[in-house]
This record gives sequence, structure tokens and C-alpha cells, in this order.
Amino acid sequence: MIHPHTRLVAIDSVVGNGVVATRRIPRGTITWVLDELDRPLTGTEMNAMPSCYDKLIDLWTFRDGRGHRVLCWDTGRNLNHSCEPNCGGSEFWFEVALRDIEPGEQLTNDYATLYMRPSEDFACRCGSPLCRGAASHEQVPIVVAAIQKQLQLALSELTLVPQPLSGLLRADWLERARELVASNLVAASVDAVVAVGE
Amino acid sequence: MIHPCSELRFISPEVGYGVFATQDIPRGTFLWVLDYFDRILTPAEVGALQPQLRTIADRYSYQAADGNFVFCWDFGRYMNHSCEPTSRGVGDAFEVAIRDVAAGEELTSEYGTLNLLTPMTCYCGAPSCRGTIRRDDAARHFEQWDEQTRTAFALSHTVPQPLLPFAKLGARDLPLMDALQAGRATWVPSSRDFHIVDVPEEVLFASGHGAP
Ligand SMILES: [Zn+2]
Ligand SMILES: [Zn+2]
Repeated sequence: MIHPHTRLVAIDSVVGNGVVATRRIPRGTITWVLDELDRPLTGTEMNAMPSCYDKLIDLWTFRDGRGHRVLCWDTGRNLNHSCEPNCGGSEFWFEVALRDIEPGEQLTNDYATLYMRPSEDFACRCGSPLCRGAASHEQVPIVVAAIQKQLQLALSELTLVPQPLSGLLRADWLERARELVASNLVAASVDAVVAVGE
Repeated sequence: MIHPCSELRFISPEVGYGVFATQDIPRGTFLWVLDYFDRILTPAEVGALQPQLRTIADRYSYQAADGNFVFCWDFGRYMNHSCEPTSRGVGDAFEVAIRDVAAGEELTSEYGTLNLLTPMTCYCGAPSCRGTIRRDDAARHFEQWDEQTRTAFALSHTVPQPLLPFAKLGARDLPLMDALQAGRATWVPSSRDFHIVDVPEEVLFASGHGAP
């Protein structure tokens, strides 16, 4: 479930829709949690779908690192890419604000942290001063390592800010996330998954 | 999956959202189909949902003829009820437009076939409004409903059906699809047969709707 202080807005004809903050969301806020209405699609389920679903799967789901493509039931599926994202951590099954997000600002992910594959490289027009121009699977290790530092800081501030999604966060997920960032295992696991093509 | 020529609009704080046609859509068109992305929840799964999610599931899911609950992944879940709806359910996977729908008109369906857990007060404003919508309404109204559905479905092979490739067909949909392909749709399953007599206990107890 996406943070309640957000809404879906039309960005422009190229990007389509995006999710923006309706109030200030401080760093360390949990911005999204995988919940029981989100649907992890298994390989078997996806194979049973007619080929007209291929595009929908690419458009609306993300990889969770466990072999699933997760379809969010709410606007969690509308987050756009940025080379300078303000949210991260989907590999923990929840996301956290990496910096303060101002009202009207889009919530973004770096798609390179979402188990990107070689066939999924794309030209980026995110507009960030740090824009890589083309988002490529080859950048994954660098991107993941950089985000890991931001995640560590954000996770350390979890108890300092209001957490409207805390009722959905499982304690063992939080524990796991803290262990992963502390031991640099995030980069390793993403690397491994990308290397073997999942 | 909701018809591509539709959009979500906010109606009012009381009603919430509704789905509206963005183009004219002819009678016989499938306005919604059950698809492979829609989430199917067993009664036990609904009963075990975390409270925030349970509230959402109660409001936006319906109970299908097999007893499971369907939570639509797209804004099809915001379709409101009307006692004179634009579409009726046919088979397990389809809502068929029972009249021509004009651009700008709200797409509505009949909750009387969706196995409501609790009766719903209706403010649809239709001349034939039933006032209260109940779980067993189909048992009383099926003849009229089935007639409308049959007439509309007979036109289904004559109009564009953008949703058809996405439909996840149930057992009761196969004869419908055969009839559609042959261009002779004279029979539809009765809406009466989609009524479930038993309310699943797992769901009721967890929601506080019933005893103990
Ligand atoms: Zn960029
Ligand atoms: Zn009514």
C-alpha cells in the first residue's frame, strides 16, 4: 500500500501518470509496503496468460527478487523512474523515503534497483542533474551500492518520523532490511540475480 | 478489466468514485471482463486480512458464484450499482451492456447478483429503484434480468469487443464463447444461478457482521 499522503496525477504525454506527495513526507518515512492485496504473479500464472498480457506485465509489475512479478493493487504501481530517486528499498518488500519529499514532488524509484535485465535498458529523460541519459543494466552494481548508503541512513530514522503504514510492516521484514544494508548484502543479492538472469 | 473507453471520476464525498464512458458504446459490448490480473481471495483469506485491507476488500470486492471474492486490479472496482444499470453480468467473466451507452454516461452494474454480505441502501435515483439491495435479489428478479441479458448478448458478435482477448474464462463461459463465435447467442446462464445461499462463516465472524 502506498503512503496516504500521495495521489496519482497526470505528469505529461510522454511519462503519463505519476504519484506525487500531497504533504511533506520526511526522510525515513515508509512510503510503500507490500500488502496482501498486492499480487505476486508466479511464472506459472504468467505462462497461463494470453500473449496480450506481455505488455501489461512489463508496464504494471516489478520484480521482487524471488522470481515473482508483483502487481500492486493501488497507485504503488505508478511510481516513475528517476536517476536521483527519493524512494528505495523494494527488495525489502517495503520502501522508505531516502530524503525529504516536498508537497507536489513525485515519488520515484531508480528502476536499475528493480532487478533490471539487459533487454530493459531505456533512454531516460528524468530531468535530474545526475541523469544517466540511458538507464542500463550495466549500471546496476553502482546504482545499488549508492542507494544502499542512503537506505542505511533512512532506515536509521524510521522511529523519528510518523509512520502511517506501520500497521502493515512486518517486524521480520524490517529486521531483514537492516541486516541486508548493514552487511552490504543488497548489492550482492541484486548482482547475483541480474547475473543469472533470475 | 474495464472497457478502454472509460475513465474514473470523483462524484461526491458520499458516493466516492464512479466509472464513466468516454465514447458512445453500443449495446452488446462487454463493459468489463474478469481478467488474469484480478485478485481472487478465498473467504478464509478475506477473513484473515489486516483491518486496513479488510475495509478496502469489503468495499471493492464482490463474491463470485464459486464463493471466492474478486478484487479487481484496475478501476473496474469503482463501478457503482444502479437498479437500471448499463450492464449485467453474464457467465462468470462478463458484464454486457444491456443498452447503448452515451459518452459521459456512468457505467453501472447490478450488485444484486454480487452476493452482498449485508443489504445495501440504494440511492441510484432510477424510477424502478428497489431502495435496498439484497443478497438474494436475483431470486426475485431473474426473469426480467435474464431477458435483458439475453437480448444484449445476442448482439455481442456484431459489435467491437476490445476486452475479449483479456478475459479469463470460467466453466460457464465456454458455451457462451461458442455461441458468440457461431453468431447465434440465444441462451445465457440465468442470473439466479449465481446466487450463493450460504454466507461464508470465516468472513462473517472476522468482520463482526454476525455471531458470535
Ligand atoms: Zn534519468
Ligand atoms: Zn436503486
